[in-house]
Amino acid sequence: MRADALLDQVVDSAEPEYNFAFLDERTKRAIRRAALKGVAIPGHQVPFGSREMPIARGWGTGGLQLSLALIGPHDVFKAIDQGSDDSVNAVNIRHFVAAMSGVETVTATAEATIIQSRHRIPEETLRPDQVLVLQVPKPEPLSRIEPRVARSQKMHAEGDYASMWLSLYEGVALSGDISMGADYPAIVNGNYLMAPSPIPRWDMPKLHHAPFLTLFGAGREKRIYAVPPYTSVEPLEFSDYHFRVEEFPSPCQLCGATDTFLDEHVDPHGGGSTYSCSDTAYCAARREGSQA
Amino acid sequence: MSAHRPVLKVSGLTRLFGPGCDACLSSTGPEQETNRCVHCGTTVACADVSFDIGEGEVLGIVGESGSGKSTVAGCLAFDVPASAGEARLCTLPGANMFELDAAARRRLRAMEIGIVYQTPQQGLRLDVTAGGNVAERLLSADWRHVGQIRERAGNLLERTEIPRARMDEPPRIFSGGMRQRVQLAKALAHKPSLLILDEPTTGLDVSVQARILDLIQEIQREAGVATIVISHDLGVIRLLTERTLVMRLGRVVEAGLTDQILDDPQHPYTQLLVNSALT
Amino acid sequence: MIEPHLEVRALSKRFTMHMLGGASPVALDEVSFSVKRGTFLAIVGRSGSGKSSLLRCLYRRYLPTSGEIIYTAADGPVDLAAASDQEILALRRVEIGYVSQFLRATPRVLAVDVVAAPLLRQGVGIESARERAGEMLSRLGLAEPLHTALPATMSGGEQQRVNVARALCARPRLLLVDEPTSALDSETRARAIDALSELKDQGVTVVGVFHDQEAVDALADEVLELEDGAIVRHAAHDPDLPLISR
Repeated sequence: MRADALLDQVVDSAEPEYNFAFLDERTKRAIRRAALKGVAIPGHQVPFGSREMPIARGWGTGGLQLSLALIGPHDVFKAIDQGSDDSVNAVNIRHFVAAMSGVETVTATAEATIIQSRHRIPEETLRPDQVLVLQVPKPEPLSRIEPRVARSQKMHAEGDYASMWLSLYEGVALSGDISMGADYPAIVNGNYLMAPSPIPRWDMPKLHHAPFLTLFGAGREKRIYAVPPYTSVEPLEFSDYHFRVEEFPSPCQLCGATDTFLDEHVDPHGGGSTYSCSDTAYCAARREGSQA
Repeated sequence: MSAHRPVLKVSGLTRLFGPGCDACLSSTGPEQETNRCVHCGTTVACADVSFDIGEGEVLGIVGESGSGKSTVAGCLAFDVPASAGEARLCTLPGANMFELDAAARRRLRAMEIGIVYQTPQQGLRLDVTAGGNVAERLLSADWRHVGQIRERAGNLLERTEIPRARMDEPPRIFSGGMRQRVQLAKALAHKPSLLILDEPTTGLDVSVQARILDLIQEIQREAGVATIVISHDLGVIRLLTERTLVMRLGRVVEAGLTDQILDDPQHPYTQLLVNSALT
Repeated sequence: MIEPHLEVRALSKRFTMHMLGGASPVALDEVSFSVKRGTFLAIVGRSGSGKSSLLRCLYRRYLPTSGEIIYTAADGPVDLAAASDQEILALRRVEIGYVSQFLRATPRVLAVDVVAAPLLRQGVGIESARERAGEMLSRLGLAEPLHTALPATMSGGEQQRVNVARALCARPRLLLVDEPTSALDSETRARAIDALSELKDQGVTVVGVFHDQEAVDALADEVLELEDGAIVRHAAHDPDLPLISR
């Protein structure tokens, strides 16, 4: 048989379209099961069979698989990258989800039912009917201390976090204060130590007893975990050296907000630094609101 | 007649490396001149070791390498699991510490058992500050106040002759003797009820060794902590201990008062050991 | 009638020397005697007659082969030959003292602390322990500057004063002494004899090995003579008799 005839056969027998939301239903079930287990054991990392996705691992495949496994025809989807709806990564993910599911996509946080995010939690407090999906590069909070997975799993099993506390102590001893920044480790539900993904410390209080569900997906590391609604998320801190959120020297130059996480923009020509909201949709809405 | 209250009571402690079989114990030991079972190839690191230690008491375990003395220490510090036997600590009444679950073992180890290993690499994180090494045990015991932790760690390090000014330096840049003193400070951090010194001065210069032995004696007197000293060195045993177990090929061949063991050894192996000593 | 403070019944000590093909020399052969409280018993005999072996068996530095050593402790009788190691240690801490021929002290510990150590083990506070240690050292004629010196740097006689002071300071009820005065010059020997004699006056039972006629004359109530591990004489001390009868 000639090659092009063979090819015709293959093309004819292939399904005309991808499944709804790209992943086949069995894969979605497996991912949902992992997510449910994560919800049942807050902060515990559940292994899952991370699939090849049409974006590279490390670019949000874990979050994307969660979003696709959750999404239904009536959902409204929002994707942000470091607070911005307009970064290339966020735009690509949004387009991909829209193309594969046909759901509506938005930038307004309040309108979305599923929000996939990298490194930020929106400034608006999410509602119980919204789900936050965070992309996670390194799900294991102990990896910076204990590279051996078997050992770190044992530490979780035994609640043995002394070495994490030790690294916190070393920061205080050597630099005079807690020196951890983003991805600040926290104890979830009084039990497991969890990496909240590289969100700024600013966002940590939003997770504590939050009314909404947060799911964490690490595609490259093949782990899913969760903070269910109304679950305690307590950043590690000493009784004399406290966890503190970031502080900013001036308000947002665009909307004037003083109660948001700001990005610093350094003027390359020596004009000093200016600050603006990291959550672009929130900033835009504030500006529109003040005009109206 | 004496009001002897054991802090630690060990009975029948056995540790096998290998599959084990019914003939392991009968085919090994000093009489068989081997600690390897001919039937199944299992190494009987220690078998049927029993002893107790009272408050403030110092017990020596002496023997050559391969006698199983460090395995006894390792089992008590949960570094290696015991294959059989029990150990009861007075602070944990009614429980065989070998049967605790992993989390409870770790907790007991952190709260009640201090150990100084022959090699600092075993007992210290060489790249974490000296203060941090001591702090780790306090953090394990849920200390969460940096100021208090640093106060306690600084005091302990000063007590073991590490200047407070050096508490934020890593032991990697310390001498061998200093590292052992950091280990000692770490072992004492949480006022353990049992202190295990496993060849604490082996491999050190004689003068450094002497200083550490002095320090151990002083601290032992002050703290009154029940202590096990493991050494192949009869001089160390004579200096530090009042009672001694002599081990060979995994078995206790003789137990008694240290001066009696040294002056009137009973077992052929002990006689050989005592007569082979340089002093 | 005063009860015996120490009663030795058929005490034997044999050494089994495994490195010498199991040779089993007899050091003591069914030795029996008793000592009343407050008695000073001098053990005499030729060298090799078993004097030191007897003393060491009483202190349990040697493990008796057979027989009993019934010691009436403050809280009742105990067989020193059969008591547990811990019981022996407890007795050594508070009741039974031992002075060897030579000081065997921890190196690098000051003389005053060597002497104070047994008091600390009895629970005496550090300050008063050192004070009592210093007094005892002075009584034995050790010059004050030497109190805070290391025994290792001292002469044999000075070391022995530290040794004797350590045992006396602890105020034992039974004191075992092994030729405590043989290494001393005559003046120090006199001081040591004074101190021992004062102990005797306080009702302490003393069993000691002596070669030294002067000490025996000054101190001994009774003399027990050994020969080849057996008792050849146990009698009240008679200064007119030679120490060794044959």
